[in-house]
Formats: sequence, C-alpha cells, structure tokens
Amino acid sequence: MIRPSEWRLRTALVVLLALSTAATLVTLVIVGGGLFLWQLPQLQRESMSQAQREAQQLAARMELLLGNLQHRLQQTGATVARLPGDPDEGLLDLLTAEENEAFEAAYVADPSGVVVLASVSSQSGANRAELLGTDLSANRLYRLALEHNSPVWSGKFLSALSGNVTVGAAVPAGGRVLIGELPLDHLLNTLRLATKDPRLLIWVIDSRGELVAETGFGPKLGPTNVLGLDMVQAALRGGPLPHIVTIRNSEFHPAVARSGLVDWHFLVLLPAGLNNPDIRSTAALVVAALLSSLLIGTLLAPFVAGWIARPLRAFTDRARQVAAGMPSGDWPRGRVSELNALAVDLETMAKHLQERRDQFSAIFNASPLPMAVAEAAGDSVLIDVNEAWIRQFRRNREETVGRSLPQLLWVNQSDFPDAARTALHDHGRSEVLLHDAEQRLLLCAISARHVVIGGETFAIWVIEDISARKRAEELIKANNELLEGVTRLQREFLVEADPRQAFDRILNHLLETTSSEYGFIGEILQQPDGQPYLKTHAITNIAWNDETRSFYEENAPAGLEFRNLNTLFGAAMTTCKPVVANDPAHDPRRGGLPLGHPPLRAFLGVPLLHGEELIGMVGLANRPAGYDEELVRTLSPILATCSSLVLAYTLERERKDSEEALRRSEARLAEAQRVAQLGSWELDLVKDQVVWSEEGYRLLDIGPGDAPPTQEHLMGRVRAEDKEALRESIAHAIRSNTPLEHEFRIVRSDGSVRWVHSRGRASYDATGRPIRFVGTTQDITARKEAELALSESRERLDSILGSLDDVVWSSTPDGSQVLYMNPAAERIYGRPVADFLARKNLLQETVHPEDAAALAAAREDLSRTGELALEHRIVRPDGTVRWLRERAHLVTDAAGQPLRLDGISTDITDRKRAYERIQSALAEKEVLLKEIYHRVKNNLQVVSSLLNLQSRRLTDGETKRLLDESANRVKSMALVHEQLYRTENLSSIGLREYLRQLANNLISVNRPLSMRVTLRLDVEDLYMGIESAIPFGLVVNELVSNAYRHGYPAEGDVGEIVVRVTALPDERVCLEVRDDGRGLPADFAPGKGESLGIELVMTLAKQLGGELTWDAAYRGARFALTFKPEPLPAGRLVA
Amino acid sequence: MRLAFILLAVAASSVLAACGPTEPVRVGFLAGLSGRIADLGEAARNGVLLAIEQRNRAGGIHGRPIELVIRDDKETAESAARGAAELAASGVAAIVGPITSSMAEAALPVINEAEVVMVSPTVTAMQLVGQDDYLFRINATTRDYARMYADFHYHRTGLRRVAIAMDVRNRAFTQSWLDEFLPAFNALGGEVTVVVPFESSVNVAFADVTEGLLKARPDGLLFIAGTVDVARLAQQARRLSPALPLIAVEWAASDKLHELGGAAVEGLHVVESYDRTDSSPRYAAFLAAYRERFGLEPGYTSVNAYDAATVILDSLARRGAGQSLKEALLALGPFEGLQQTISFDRFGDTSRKGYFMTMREGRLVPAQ
Repeated sequence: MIRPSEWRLRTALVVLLALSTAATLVTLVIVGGGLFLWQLPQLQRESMSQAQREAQQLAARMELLLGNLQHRLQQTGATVARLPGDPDEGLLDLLTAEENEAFEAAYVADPSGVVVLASVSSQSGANRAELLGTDLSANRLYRLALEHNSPVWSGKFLSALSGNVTVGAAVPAGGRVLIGELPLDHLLNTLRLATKDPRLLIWVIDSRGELVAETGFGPKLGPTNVLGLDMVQAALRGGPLPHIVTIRNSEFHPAVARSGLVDWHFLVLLPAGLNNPDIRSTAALVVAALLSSLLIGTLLAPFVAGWIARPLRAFTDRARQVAAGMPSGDWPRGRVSELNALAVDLETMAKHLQERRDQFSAIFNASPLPMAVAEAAGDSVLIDVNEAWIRQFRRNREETVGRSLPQLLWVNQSDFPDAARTALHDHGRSEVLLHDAEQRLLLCAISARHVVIGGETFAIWVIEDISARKRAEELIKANNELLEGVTRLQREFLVEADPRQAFDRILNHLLETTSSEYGFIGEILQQPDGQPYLKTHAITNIAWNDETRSFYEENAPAGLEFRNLNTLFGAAMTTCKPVVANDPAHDPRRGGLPLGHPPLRAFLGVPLLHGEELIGMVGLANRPAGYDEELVRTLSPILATCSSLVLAYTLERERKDSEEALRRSEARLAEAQRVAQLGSWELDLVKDQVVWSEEGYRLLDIGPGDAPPTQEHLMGRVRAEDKEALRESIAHAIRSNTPLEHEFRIVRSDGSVRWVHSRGRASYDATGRPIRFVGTTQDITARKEAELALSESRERLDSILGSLDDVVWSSTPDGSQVLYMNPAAERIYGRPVADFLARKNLLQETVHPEDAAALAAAREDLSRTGELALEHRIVRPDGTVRWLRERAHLVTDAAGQPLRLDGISTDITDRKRAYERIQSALAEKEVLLKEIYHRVKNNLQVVSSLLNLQSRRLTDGETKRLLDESANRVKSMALVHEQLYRTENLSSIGLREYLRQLANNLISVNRPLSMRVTLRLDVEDLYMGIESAIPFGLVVNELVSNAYRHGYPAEGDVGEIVVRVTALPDERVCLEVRDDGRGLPADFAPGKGESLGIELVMTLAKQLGGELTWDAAYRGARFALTFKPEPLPAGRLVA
Repeated sequence: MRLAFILLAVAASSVLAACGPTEPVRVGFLAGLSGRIADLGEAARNGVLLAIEQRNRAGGIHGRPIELVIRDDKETAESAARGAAELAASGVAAIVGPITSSMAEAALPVINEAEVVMVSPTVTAMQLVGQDDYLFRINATTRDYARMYADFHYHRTGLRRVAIAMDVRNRAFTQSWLDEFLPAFNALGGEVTVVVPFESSVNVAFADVTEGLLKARPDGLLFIAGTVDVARLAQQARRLSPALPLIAVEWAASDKLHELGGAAVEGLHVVESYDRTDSSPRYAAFLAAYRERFGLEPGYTSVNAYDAATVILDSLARRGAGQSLKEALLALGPFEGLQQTISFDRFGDTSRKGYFMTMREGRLVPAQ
C-alpha cells in the first residue's frame, strides 16, 4: 500500500534520472539549434554558388557538344559550296549515318529555297526522294541563315520535311543553305549525360522561352513556354535572378548560363530549404542526436532504478512467505552492504519462528481426539483443526479453515441447537447431531475450553463421534421382540386355508402389542371414478346394538367397505402418511361417529405401501398412552408383513380373475374360427397326436368326440394325388425350421372335395429336436374356383392376341418396363418377348435414333392428353429398319393416377416404302419443270437480246422504237419464267419481286428520261400463276412504256409514274398505272391510235377476263385493270 | 498521451497550412505537342497560356492563382487516355483540349468516368456532337464545314470533279468530314472521283498518294489532313500538276502552313474558324499580347483555345456555391469569345462562323 505522499523507491530513482536527461536535452537543443541556424545561411550560399557552377559547366559542355555538331555541319557546308553543280547525296549521308547518332535529317536548299539535296537517317524512315523539291523559302531557319550568312540554331522547330518537333541548325553553303535536324530525344540524352548532379532540375530554354528540354530532380512542366515566369524573363534579359523561386510548391535556388552559340539558356534549379539534401541531412543529424539522447536516458532510467530496488522487493516477498508459515530459506543478497546485513538478521529471526511453530503443530496433530481451534468471538470461525478431526469429518484442512462450525457441520444453520451453541461458547459439554463431508449424520459429544493467547481469546473444541456406540445399544433390544412376532405371523398366513383368519390374527397381535381397544386391516380398492375406498379383511366387532350386530355378522366375512374419505383414516389414504390423532374429538381431519359408536379417544392410521403404491391400511384405536411416530417405527416389521399379506391376497384374487378371462377368450376364438372356416391345430410330434380346434373338426368332418386323430389318420382325408406333396412340405418345414404354406384338396365323408390352405410352424426343444407343430387350415374352395375360371379366360385372350399381326403391349406409365406383349412382337421386333419383359427400356432402345426426338415429343402429349399416336422407325438386332405406327393410351385408376400404358404397334414399313417411291418420282418431275422454265427464260432473253442488237443497227427512229418495244415485251415474259424457276412451287410468282425487276428493266431502257421521271411501285404481297402472270406483266410493260413515251416529251419535264397493285375482296386484283405527265389526248380511244401498245393492252385485258378503264379527267394518264387471276394450284407440287 | 500527440500534430499542420502559399487552381491542357500536328498543339497551348497568365495578373480566381498542367497526347489513343487520366488524377478543375477528334474519342471515356469537364477548342466530328457528356466544344461541326466547302467550291470555284486525300490516323474527324461532304457535294451535282486514304507518318509516299488522286482526272484536289501532311501533299501536287486548284480542310489552317509548304501552298483554299482581318479593339489587344508574349502569329487553334480557356475561367469565377463546372458552363452562357459569342446547347455544343481564305504571297487572305 502506497500512501499518496509516498513514492516507490524505483519511481523516485526514475524521476531523478529523467530530470538529469531532460537537462542534457535542453542543453543539446540550445547548442544544436544555434549551430544549425548559424550554419544555414552558409549552406544556402554554398548551394547557390554550386548551382551557378553547375549551370556554367553545363552550358559549356553543351556548347562544346553542339559546337562539334555545328563544326561538322560547317565542314560539309563548305564542301557543298566548293563543289560545282549538285553534289553527291553521299556527302550528307555522312551526317545522318546511324553511328553518329546525331542528325536525323540533313538537307540543302538552293537560293530560291528549294531542297536540292536531302539525307535522312535510316531510323526516321522518311522518303528521301519526296523531300527533294520541297520549298523552304518561307522557313524561318533557312531565311535566318541566308540573311546572316552565318550558322544559326533554331529553338524548338517543326520540321517541314519529317513533321517532327526537332532542333535545327543551318549553315550557309555558298549561296545555298545546309540544314541539320537534331531529334529532341538526342538533346535530352546528351543533357542527362552532361548533368553530373542528380539533385538538380535543369531547363533548356530557347530564345522564345520554349522549354526545349527539362531533366533532373523535381516537378516537370511538360512542353510549355516558360517566358511567363519572372525568373526566365530576367535570365533572358541578363538581369539578376531571385535567390529563391517556387515551382509547383517546391522552392529552388536558380542559376542560369547562356550559350552564345545556340542562343539557349541553361537554367539550373537546386532544391532550397529542406528540399536541399545538405540542409536536410544537417537538420536530420541534429534531430537524430536529440532523439537518441532522449531515448537512451528514457531506457536507462527504469533499468537502473529497478536494479537498485530489486533486493528490497525480494525482502518483502520473503517476509510475506514467513508470515504465511512457509519455509523462508536463504534471504537474497545484493551489492548494497547495509541491505546484506539486514538480510542476515532477518534470516536468523525467521528460523527461530519456524522452529517454535513446528513444535506446537506436532503436539496438536498427534492428539487422538478430534480437536479444533476457533475464534472465541462472533461466528466462531475455525482457525486450525488436527489430523484426528480431519479423519472424523472427512474434510481437508483447506476447506475447513476460515469457516464457522455450524456452517460446516450442520444441515440447516438456523436450526443449530441452542444447547450445542452454548456448549461451543462456554465451558460445557453437549451431544449434537452433526454431518461429515459425505452428509452422514454423526452423534457427537462437544466439549469446549477458552484460552487467551497474546491478548486474543481462542476456543479449543474437542468434538467426538459417539453415534456408533449409542445406536448399537438401542437396536439390540427392540429388534429382538419384533422379529419374533413377524416370524409367527408369516408362518400363520402360509398355513391358513382362509387368508382372512390370518388377517384376524395379525389384527389381534397388533391390538395386543399396542394395548389398543379395537382396529381394522383393509385393502385399498378404486371406485370407477378413481377415488380410493377401503375394504376390510379384518375388523374388531364393536357392534353396539342388534342392528349393528346383524350387519357385522352378515358383511364382515366378505369385508366391510368404507368410502368416506373425510375421516381420520381417509386422511391416511389420501396423504399416504401415517395419521396420529391423540385428541380425535378436536382433530380437524375427523369425520364424526355414528350414534352409539364406542368412544374414540386416540387413533392411529398407517397406510400400507407397495413401492409407492397404496395397497392397504391398518387402523388402531384407544391406546391408553396415545400413539406417536416412534410407535410406527417400532411396528414397521409387522406393518411390512401386513403389506406383503395384503399384496399376496390381491395377487391371488387377480390370478383367479385372469383364469376366468382366458376361458372366455377361448370361447370367442372358437366362434371366430367357425365363421372364418379356419381350424387351428397342434401336432405333437413326440406322441404323434393332433389336437384340433372345434372348427377344425368340422372342416375335416370328424366328430369332436372321436378319438384324437394321428397324423396318418388325417392324411386319409387328403386327396390321393395331393398327399405326397403335402408330406414333403411338412417334412421340409420341420427340417429347415421354415413356415409351412400349402394348398391341397381333402375329400369329406360325403365324397365332396374341398380346397384347403394350411399354414404352420414347428417348435423345437433345447437339443433342437422338433416336438410340436402348430398351425391353421382354412377352406379356400370358393377362391380356388374363381382362380380357375380366370385362368381359362386368360388363355382364351392369349390365343386371340397370339393370332394378331400387330403388337399389343402394356407397360408401366413411363413406358420403361414392359408388362405384357403378344407373340407378334417377335416377328416385328426380331427379339423374343422375354427380352422385353426382362430388360428395362428395351422398347425405347429399339427406336431409330433419328426418331427419338419425335417419340419424346409424343410422350409430352401423352402426359397431357393421355393418348399417344406416332409413326416411327425401329432398328432390329440384324440392323434392318422397320416403320411402326404406335397408338397407346394411359389407363388410370379412379383417382386419376396413371396405372399403366396400353398400346398397339402396327408394322407400316411397306406402306412407307410405297410413299417414298412416289416422293422421289415427284422430285424428278420438279427438276424437269425447273429446267424447262430456265430454258424458256433463256430463249426469251436470247430473243430479246437479238431484237436489241438489231435495233442498235437501225437508223430509222420509228423502226428502232418498235423493235425496242418488242424486246421489252419479250423481256417481261422472260422475267415471269425467271421468277417461276426461282420460286419453290414452280407454279406461282411473287408480284412484288417480279414488278421490281420489271421496273428496273424499264428504268434502265428509258435512261436518261428515267433520271428525271421516277418510277414508284406500290404493290401488295400477292402471288399469281403463270397463266395470268405473263399477260399481266405485258400490260404493266405497255402502260409504263407508254407513260414514259407520251407523258414527258419536253427536255426539262420531271415527274413520277406510279404502279399500284391491290387485292380486292372477291379474289380480284386491281392494277393501276398513273403518271403526272401531259395526260391522255382529249379524243383518246383505244384502237383508234396506231400504237400497238394500247391495242395489245386491250387484247391482254380480254385474255385476263378483266376490264380496262381510263380516267380522262385525271391530270396525267391513269389506267386501271381489274381482273380475276387463274386460281393458284392447291399447295405445292411436292409436299 | 497518444491523443495529445495527435492533437499536437493536427495543430501543427493547421498552422503550417495557414502559413503556406495559396493552393492554385489547376487547369489541364491535352494536345499533340510532339507529333506531326505539333504546330496546332503549340499554338493552342500558347492561347491557353496567354489567357491564364492574363487572368493571373488580374488576381486569379478569387485570389487563387491558376496553374496550367500540360500533357502531350502524341497523337496516339493510349497517350491521350493516359494523359487525360493523369490530368484528372492531379485534380484539375477542367481540361482544354484535345485538338483532334480521334484524341477526343480516346479521352472521352476517361473524363466521363472522372467527371472532369473537357473543353475542346477544335474538334468537330459528328459522333461527338449531341451527346450529354463532359465534352464541350468551341468549334462548329464537320457537317457545317463540309456543307460550307461543298457549296463554296461548287458555286464559287466551279469545281465538279474533286479527288480527295484523307488521313485515316485521325479517322474520327476525317471520315465524319468525308461522310458529310459526299452527299452535300453530290446533291449540288458535283462528283467525288476518288478518295485516297493514307495514315499520317513520316514515311508516307505522298507522291503515290498524289498520283492516285490525279489518275481520276479531277478538276480540284481536296486534302482532309493536318498542316504538315497538307504541305507535303501540296509539294507533290504542284510537282505533278502545277495548275490544279488545291483545297485543305479547316484542320490544316495553321499559321505554319506557309513556312512548311512554301510556294507549294500558294493559292491553296482553306476555311478558318476566326476572322484574321478583324480590327476590333478586343482582337487587336489579343493579337498584340500574343505577339509580344510568343514572338509569333496566332493561329485558329490559338484563338479557339483562348476562347476555351476564357469560358472555363469565367465559369470557375462566376459559378455559385455547390454548382459543378458542367452545370455552370450550361447555365452561365452565353460567353463572350474573342470574336464570336459562345452559347452552349444542353449537349455542350455551339456553332461557329467560318471564313474562306486563300494563300496569297505567303499570307492567308479572304477568298475572292
């Protein structure tokens, strides 16, 4: 326990050490910070001068490098200038050669700016030949070089030749200019090589402020123009630079150097402040020194403090051990001499203490009397107990010490007897019932003494178990008397013929033993409503007048019954506990007495129990001294005997009742057998005797009074041809210990034959010898006759089904298991019927693989409609294929659940083959028809082409037109045939497609007119046979041609011709051709003009059976033809 | 003890944050800065740079400076997607770019995923038009341009048979342009005699391409290609058929065209999406600032990119609390560009007027 004002030694030491560390730290901060601040400006100055050095060196190195390149360019330029005419390209190739890795392109422009010589590096991939002739007269670099007549460098520069962003250098070459282009990458790589310090950020800026290249450490701006930055403007002007600039939130020291050769500025940026590695490392060093001194001090303080305080901690632990009575051993030593001297003294003291304690302990534990030491005050908590105490109460010392005695040894603390409590606290002696650890009760004698040690009072108790001694004394006496009486009573019950006499004797013995006046012994029975009632087996005659006397004599022998439970004996019956009533008149449980009844001064009712079941009751009255629990205990052997007797009496009565019930049950069985015509029998295999039930005798036509029949005697009743089989069945059942099941015929004495069915089983003795055969025999004549009739009917059906050509079958509802199949299946399927019955799914497996899907679909229908119908192929084992027509229907029970599938399969192979032959003949004809249409179309096209050819040679316009018209008519007919052989049914054509092609032809022959006059089709999706299609096509051809020819005579006429075909309700078709041209002449009449066209249309309209009308009032020409086409042939030629 | 440390660290960091410089607003820029169309990319970059530097001098956005983060798409889809992803990751408020439609197609899924607005100064392809996404466009569409070209050259130049060379490397743009031009030109009665595709790179045989064009005996050549390729094609066309009219699509209208093409591009027709003859004070001030800053002439990508940056910076400065930039761009318009008013429809598309120009003595002048 540490008081708030106290400190642990270790804490005090830690504080001391921490204070000293903090002092060191403060010193370090002041000195280190001062040093750092003094150093900082110096570091900055160094950085700036270093940046300046770097910039100058970089500019010098780059200038040297670019100067070299310029020198090479100048040398080449001089050579170009010296050579007369156009020099060789090889000269320039030296500049762009790959091993030089410098110029990407080099070219010479003549004084007019035209490229006359060019070379490109193989990497650039540019086409040298194309570059020649390029005009560079507007090129800035070219013009500068020409103007200054000295080498010029561009900044960032978009090459006119390659389109790449490059850096260019131009040198004059005798009136011409030689230009070399350096890729930016090359420059950047060179810059990286030239930069030694990786901490620097380097910008190369051209004269326009374009960032030609940037590299190094820090933020990248990308290809931008930095002239907007003050620093860059100052650099380009040659003014002083700021000490620190901020770029993208980072601070830098800038330095600049200019290359006069290329007019570029090299801007070097060195990170400033903490970004500068030098400053950062100095700062880091100071911080690290601070942190490490702090860390070392912090780590060392607790360690040293702990080391000094360690022996003291050990002393405390050791002293605690000695106080608890544990051996102390050697006390620890340290490096502090005072502490070591203390350890020696403490060690001696502990040793003396230990010795004294051991002596007392030995004496205490050696005492043979159980002893305990406790606190005298309060709850008397136990402090120690000796070995004898531990043995007696079977508790170890740990669970004892610290608890009070009643808590430990008394079942219910509040009941702890005052006498015992007094004995424990005073100098007294008392006997008390205590219990040990296993809850056994011990009668103990307690004696106590109080002693005062060191100012405190302790109680010393001696607690001795005396229960064994006491019990032995009491038991010996009581038991002797009782056992004698019990033995006598039991003996009497066994020898008495009437058990009631035995009950009378017991009652007398009880009355005598207890000095009671009267009493009873009775059995407890149950009323139908479950209420118990008492029936006496023995009762004292206490009749007090003539009436009660005659009642007693009449009823006592059979037993008196008492049903009122609201009485003293009733209380014993309902509670199953003994009832002691020594003042019955005022007992709340009393039921009252009848008038004249002898007085009741005391009552004892004891229930008799068998297990927990109440079986009887004993009642005693008027013991002069009254009754108590103790008496009940004393009487318990006699009461137990009484219980046994009541139980025995009850069992005997129940046995008699069971015998009566069995007799009645047998009578009922005989009646049942008679009704079922079933006789039971028992064959005694040892004596060879058969005992039959009553019905059995009747079945066999043997009188029940006849001599018991033997087995052989009964065999005489069996019909001769069934005898051997019956014998064999019986012998087998006995041999193999299996049940007998056999049907056979017997001949009754009147000669009538009956079918019977016998069942039975043998039984065996311990050695396995058969001794008895028990079974039944039933008359089954009626069932047998029905079976025979059924069998005959089935044979008739089999004969009919066997003669059928079709397969008749029946299967499970899912078709997987064939249940029946007639013999025709062997012929059609080529497999024995037995195969189908034996193998599941065989019927499905025979189905041709290509028909499996159709079968599955038919099965779907079956599950929906209950009917199946399809035609399919099967494959027989020899590989031949047959066609079957399958019809089946699902048979269901009354509830609609499928029972089975019944079907019939017909072989339709021959019919199918005939059908296929017809099919192939039809297909041949179809091919032939197609060929004919094709040839007709070809021939018509040849005719049309011939006419066209002819027409082209003609010079006479009119003749030429007539020939063209004819060619168009033939073409329209050819189109019908072309459509026909393209259609599927070869008999009708689609009008929409036909008219589209016809229109294309008309548009093509009417060019260029058709460019101005569009032809629009508005055709419904109709089909027409060849008979109508040809005249119909010719009509359209004529009407549209006429519209083109007459509708738009002038050069600039534009318009639209519309062909419209619509279906009318009565299967008629309406064709309408109209235009928005000049219209019909006022006197238009067909046949009047010279045009073959309109005459032809009239003829064709007639041929079609239609009517041609025209609309003279319409603003253009408008014709309509309504007709009924030939009916289409029904369906396709080929199904 | 541990809690005390955490509190100390939090206090220290908040003090440091308060002392540090104001966090800049980042704006991304994505374009080809190293490939064959680097001229357009660089000109656009200069336009954006100028807009941002001017805005920074005027106090930035609510006192925060604007910082431009640049990524080169190298004219490859992978670089464009990677560049867009890097820009989105670096926390840019918006991106200006890219220059070509193909690159826009490559970057589009990335910015839609990251929900970062991308305002392209130049892309025109029809498949990028009319989409509710994070791409905003400053330029007109290929449909607008193709119809302008068809109409102008059919009626004014009198061309009837045109042969076309098309760079398939930027197919998103060139195919869209061609698909719009063909029906427009055909409808007028013109005929495209041949289309010769090539994939822009240093090793294209432009002589073969040009021969393919001339074989169809056209009365004019149309180049759907970038500046360098148009310059190369013009060199070959002038060599093989010096008098044939040459037309380049608006893509090639770079200020570098003359420097790259020299005499070969003399007489070439092209449409520019700005009016270089504009003498309004607003444009004159821009022109002077641009020349002063970069020592160069601005091109159409500079003007458009300057407009794109202006639209973004205006919206960033004016948008309400909790308003996303996309919402602000759609709600705060119309915006005043250098020469034209920019008003986005709900898909972030706008219209732009084009100007027919002809190369005369090294300068683009309004077509006659």
